[in-house]
Amino acid sequence: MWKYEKKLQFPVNIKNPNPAMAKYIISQYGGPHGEIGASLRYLSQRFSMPNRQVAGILTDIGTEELAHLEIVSTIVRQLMKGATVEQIKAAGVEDYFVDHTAGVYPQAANGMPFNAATLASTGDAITDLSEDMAAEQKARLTYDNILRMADDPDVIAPIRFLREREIVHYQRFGESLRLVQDGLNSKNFYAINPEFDMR
Amino acid sequence: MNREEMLRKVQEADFVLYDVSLFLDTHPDNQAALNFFKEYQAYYTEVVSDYEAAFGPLVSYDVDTDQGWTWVQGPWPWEMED
Repeated sequence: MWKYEKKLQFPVNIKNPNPAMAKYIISQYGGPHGEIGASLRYLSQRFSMPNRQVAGILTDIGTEELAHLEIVSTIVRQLMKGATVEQIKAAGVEDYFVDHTAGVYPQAANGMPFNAATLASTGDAITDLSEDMAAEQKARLTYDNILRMADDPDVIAPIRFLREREIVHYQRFGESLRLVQDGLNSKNFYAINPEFDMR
Repeated sequence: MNREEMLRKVQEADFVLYDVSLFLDTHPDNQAALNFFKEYQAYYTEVVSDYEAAFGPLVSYDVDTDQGWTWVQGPWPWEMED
């Protein structure tokens, strides 16, 4: 189970509304490399993870991703709140505004609603952990692209924090993959699924 | 300290414990990390209780019901402070 803590993992206080920026940052909420997909990926994969330490990593990183989707949603909300209809129109955000006003909806920058097809949970430890390492890099590159476009220091600070966490998670998943491989049969190092084949 | 500054202390302590937790998941025998974690456990408890005494509960189980249901008072984390 989970309990809510009434705080963000990293503070977000954006003074100036900027719907144009909200339109692309929302991708890290509900987009293909976003934080909803990250949390669902790890929190789904852990059930078939044979190594207890690695099940712990999936639980703890999956939980941190929930804190990250809260940070990204907060950024989107603060960038949309207080924007005038003129600003919305000038930013080309009418298509979002007409359905969601200044609310938060899980979608990619191109308007595609969140889709679980963007993640995998295969029941195979090595496949899942390889996916997780790639996923952390995909999220990192998306934050890099956001940082190439964002020009508000109030937005840049939390985005840089989130980018840094992708790098730490990538490191921990690399160690997790090594832990699972160390537990495999050396004659069948790459092919075996320890959860399904070794019971 | 104002609310934002005290909350920042909680966020910092929380971040230390969280990040070291992830490290310990894959390095459970690292004595230096275990010692460091223990040190910050005590600090975390201290800054959380200081914050909650001044600005209300961070988790609903910490509500002091003599004050009423303070959980739904004060700003939610996504609200900006003016």
